[in-house]
Amino acid sequence: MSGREKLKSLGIELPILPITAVGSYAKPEGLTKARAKFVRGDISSDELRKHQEEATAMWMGFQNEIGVDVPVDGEMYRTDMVEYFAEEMGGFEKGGWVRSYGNRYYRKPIITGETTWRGPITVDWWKFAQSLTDKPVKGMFTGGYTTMDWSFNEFYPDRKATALALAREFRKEVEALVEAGCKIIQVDEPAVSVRADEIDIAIEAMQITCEGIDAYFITHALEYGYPETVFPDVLNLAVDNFDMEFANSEFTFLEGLRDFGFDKDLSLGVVDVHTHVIDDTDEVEQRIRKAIDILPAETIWPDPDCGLKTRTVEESMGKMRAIAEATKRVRADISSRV
Amino acid sequence: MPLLRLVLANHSSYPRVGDGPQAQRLRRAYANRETGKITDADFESIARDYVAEVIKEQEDAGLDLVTDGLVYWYDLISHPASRLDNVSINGLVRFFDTNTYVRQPEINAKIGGTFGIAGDFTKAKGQATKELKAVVTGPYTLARHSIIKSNGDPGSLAMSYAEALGRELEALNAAGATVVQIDEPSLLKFPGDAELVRNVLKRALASKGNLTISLATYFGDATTIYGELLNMPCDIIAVDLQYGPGLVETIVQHGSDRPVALGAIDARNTKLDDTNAVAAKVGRVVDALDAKGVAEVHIQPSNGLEFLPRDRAKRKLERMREIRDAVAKAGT
Repeated sequence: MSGREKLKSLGIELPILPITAVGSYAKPEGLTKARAKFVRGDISSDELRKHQEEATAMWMGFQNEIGVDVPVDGEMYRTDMVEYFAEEMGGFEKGGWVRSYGNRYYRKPIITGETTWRGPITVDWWKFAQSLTDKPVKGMFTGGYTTMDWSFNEFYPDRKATALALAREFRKEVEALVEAGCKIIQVDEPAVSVRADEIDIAIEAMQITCEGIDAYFITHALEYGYPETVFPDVLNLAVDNFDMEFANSEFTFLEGLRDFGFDKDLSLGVVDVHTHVIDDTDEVEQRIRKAIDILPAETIWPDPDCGLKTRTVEESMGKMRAIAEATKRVRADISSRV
Repeated sequence: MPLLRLVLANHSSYPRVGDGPQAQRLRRAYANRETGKITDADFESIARDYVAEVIKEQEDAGLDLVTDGLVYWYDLISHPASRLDNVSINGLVRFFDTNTYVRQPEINAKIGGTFGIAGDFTKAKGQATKELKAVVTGPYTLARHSIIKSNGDPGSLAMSYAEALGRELEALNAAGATVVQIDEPSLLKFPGDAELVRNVLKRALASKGNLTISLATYFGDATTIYGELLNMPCDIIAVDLQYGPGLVETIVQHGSDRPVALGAIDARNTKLDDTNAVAAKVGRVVDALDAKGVAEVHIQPSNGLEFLPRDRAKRKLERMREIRDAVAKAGT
């Protein structure tokens, strides 16, 4: 079954080249200040939640305005993509700061006991975002393999045991999202492309988390690395759509994707999220055209390379507007040819 | 008691942030400089102070051979490469199997200049009371992380970087450096290129003068290429003991004609290393190399400490001292 057929079976019809976002947007200044106040104990969790809801509503309104077809909640409630889940689950301790790149740091959690899902983590936020739009909002969480790889482990005997234990717990999150009505779920697994020798662990983890559940699955799995090292095995991940970074690496792997017999849907990163410069719309348009020269247009979902949380609000908006405008131009061209 | 000297050494980097405003000052300074809120001179003052602090932390932990923590480095690739002539810095690429990213250099014309490490060394030298090791990313690893145009290849690019390294070593000599660690983790990813790496280093080290050169491999198992490492033109061989369970026995069997730096402490995980277990491994190597008349064995982290939170990094260094004491005690 193709991706579009699966979506149709779930009651979802999307236009050609559906626009989406990877997950995060920049946090507005008011929310950043509120978070700092909350950390200092100056405001309550209810007050922080109010700021988070306002910011989520702002991003939902923006996505509606520019025509994002599969919007995201923007992750206004998260710290980072592993720390947030570690805080919500059992078995983790808060870790110290470690570097991500340049002057960017994150708190890397420490697994000190059996990891446990204590209840829905993202579902309330998904419901809140979905209540603000008629478009299908993407559910999102970080998968077992990446959570393992981006945590310190002081409990499990090895990496495989850690990843699979987490994958079993994350399946409960998928089930909770589906029960709430979510039909498009993204399992973030950016660590998958790093260790080719462990691709079987990642595949098994994804199977445990997703297989047999009635939803359309995306994985944000291939970014800033050497994707060719995990192909074609990575295609065995139990998902319908691969979300990949292309703009940062200047589309060097696109033809390779075709050569490996890529037959999934592709969320196509067409703006670079690690630069303050707003990508030129004409250039973004050319990137989309390049992709549909190589892969079927009905499989392509334009989006940013990665989450936009490291950009400012204005930069995030500018980059998303460039995607929306470029996509509309290409769509118009495609429909005029039909 | 072994005759050889057990040296406690830092590997290379040290965490640049910690908990609390004081430990975050360098991070804030980088951000404030980027947005123009502080001047370059303001930044320099904070960075120098931070370098002094991380050197003191290493010395307080009992280290004999310290580093400047690579405090000035944006990352292990773009920091040295960005200071060369005719090199531009591009997008991010993941650095080995770490959740960290480096920016990729692109060579636009014949490479000129140096990596600027001698300048970093000079700033830190006055802060250290113990011997200060300079660290530089090796030509081969730089080449493997660079954007290679269609008419290029890693070998010729590595040779170009080797010439820059040669100039850097001259500058380090002039700056008063004694020990320089050249990091070549990519060799473990592409072990078939050992001969290329040897030739690249030969070219670079022609100008090394009296410098003691340590060749560091990490993020992988050096067991299968240990014999190749013994043929490298370096004075110290540094290996990562966290990957291959057979590496210690390989070192014991092959021996060495020069000091070996053992990456005995796991610098990728917070769990504190078991003193007795690590001491037993180090002791095996010490006994074997002592019998061969090797002058030193270094005990150091497996790789740069920036992959650990600062409090854990400090604790790991202290654990190294406990391991050295256990090895010495076992040898009495």
